[in-house]
Amino acid sequence: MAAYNYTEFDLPTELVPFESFPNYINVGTRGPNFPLQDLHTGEMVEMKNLWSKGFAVIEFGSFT
Amino acid sequence: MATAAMDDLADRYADRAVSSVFLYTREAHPGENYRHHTSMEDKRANAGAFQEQYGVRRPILLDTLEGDAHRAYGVLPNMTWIIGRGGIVQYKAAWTDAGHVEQALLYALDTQDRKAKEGLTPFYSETLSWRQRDDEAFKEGLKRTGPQAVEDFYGTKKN
Repeated sequence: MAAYNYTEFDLPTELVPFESFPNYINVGTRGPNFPLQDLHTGEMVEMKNLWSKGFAVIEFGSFT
Repeated sequence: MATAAMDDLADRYADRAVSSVFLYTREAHPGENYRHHTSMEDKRANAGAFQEQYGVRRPILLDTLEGDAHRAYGVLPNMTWIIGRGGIVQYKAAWTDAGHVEQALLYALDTQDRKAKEGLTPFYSETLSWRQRDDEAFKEGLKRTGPQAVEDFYGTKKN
């Protein structure tokens, strides 16, 4: 967990995933499902429910 | 980040069965004011501050503390994915640009309507995409996070 939630940003380290991104979960294949927590309700949400009725647009990010 | 533009896009397509969310990950540039997460309470607090600062209208969903979803989808700081019914990935972008996302979404909606009646068959393609950089806004964000975030990014830390 320490490596994921790093305490200091390191540019060379953080550039590595950009190089490998094309090989991550190709378009046309199935995206994995994960449980997520709704910020406001505190309830757990299954990611797959987002795309159960149509398209899901999922932006990943953080405040910083 | 294109937060406001992505919120607007979410509003425009909500009535076409498009579900738009912001998936909150780790802090990309931790600093004195918004530190790295050591608990879900940390993550919730920073996500709440983010929502307040930008007035985000889309639902904000928190990943696990260990970033299970974030790591599985490529661990980039501001990527966007479009996933269709059945969980099939339609679009993935290493960075979020609302205009680019909208083009992809319109294409996905259009082909969804046409593929059965026109007998469309899928093929793989790639494009090199471009986005506008707002260096001033980025630097303001780093300053808001704290001096450490500025020093870490610009390499100005004094040893």
